[in-house]
Amino acid sequence: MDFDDESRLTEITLAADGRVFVFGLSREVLDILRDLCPPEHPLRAILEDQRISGTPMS
Amino acid sequence: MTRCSTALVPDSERLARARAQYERCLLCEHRCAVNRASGEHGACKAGTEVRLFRHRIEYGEEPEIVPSHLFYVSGCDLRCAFCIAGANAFDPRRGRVLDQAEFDAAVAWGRERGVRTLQWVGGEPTIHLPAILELMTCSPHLPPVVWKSDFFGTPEAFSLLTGSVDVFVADFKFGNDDCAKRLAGIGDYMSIVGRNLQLAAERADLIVRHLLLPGHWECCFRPIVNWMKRNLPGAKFSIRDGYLPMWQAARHAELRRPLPPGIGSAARQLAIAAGLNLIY
Repeated sequence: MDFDDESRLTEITLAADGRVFVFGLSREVLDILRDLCPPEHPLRAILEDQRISGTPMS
Repeated sequence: MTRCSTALVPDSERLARARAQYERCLLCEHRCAVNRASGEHGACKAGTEVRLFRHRIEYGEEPEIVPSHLFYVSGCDLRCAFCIAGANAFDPRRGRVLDQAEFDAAVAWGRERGVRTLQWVGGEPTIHLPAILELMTCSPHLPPVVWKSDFFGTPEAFSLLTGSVDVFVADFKFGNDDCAKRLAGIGDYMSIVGRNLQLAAERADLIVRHLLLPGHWECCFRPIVNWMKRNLPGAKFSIRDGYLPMWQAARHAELRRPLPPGIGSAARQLAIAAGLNLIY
């Protein structure tokens, strides 16, 4: 299976006020964000859900 | 454990009805009635081929559907100035034709990586509903299917979809007709989307998603919360606060900047105070 470049891209925008905008949140990027201990509620919910379900790494 | 879609495989009669839409297309509320099979183009400019411009596994969505294998198909019936997919969404010639072999290979790739759901996104998948139904029909044992849509489809389109998707994700973008007209180029927004939200809620699991737009708290967000409270108070409601100015957003003064910090928290507090079933 071939993948074009866009399928492999995650786009991260770091705002001057410290907010992080992520488009294309892969498992690997999720693991990086986990280490950053994000304060935002939605991302914490995803991290908690994935910790429980133990989805395999891609 | 591998989970499979509980949706029904459409029968040949439904597939035939779907395919007939390409000869007189009434899939979305533009109701162009053009013969796409013979090369006529309606508002979306799509033909009869569904083209994939991206597919990937996404974790940044509602926890109950991630990890989700997203299939991005090109072509859309709306022209949202702030669209994150931009030209890929609006030009149905983008990407490559998604044939059965490629679809099956992609599904297998996602399954090997433990995806929870398979999700059709765009652009707008509804304009390609006949081709997508055929792809799914020939590919048994799919993961649960998520249909992420602008909900500008017709009742005919929702009738064709009924039973073939497990979860509808509705982008409830605007809280009034004027903003929809100005920013997405469509009329009669509230009555069409409102009708479709209620149709979907009766037929499958439904997640109503709203992307907060800067400067649209009173005209869009608050009316949407009020609409949900009146009409679908128990439906799953999801607030997205990751807006960034993209595509042609700069043409509209209020859309030129990201959201102010804290607006997402304030929106969630309002939704909770209204008694909505906030899931994200």
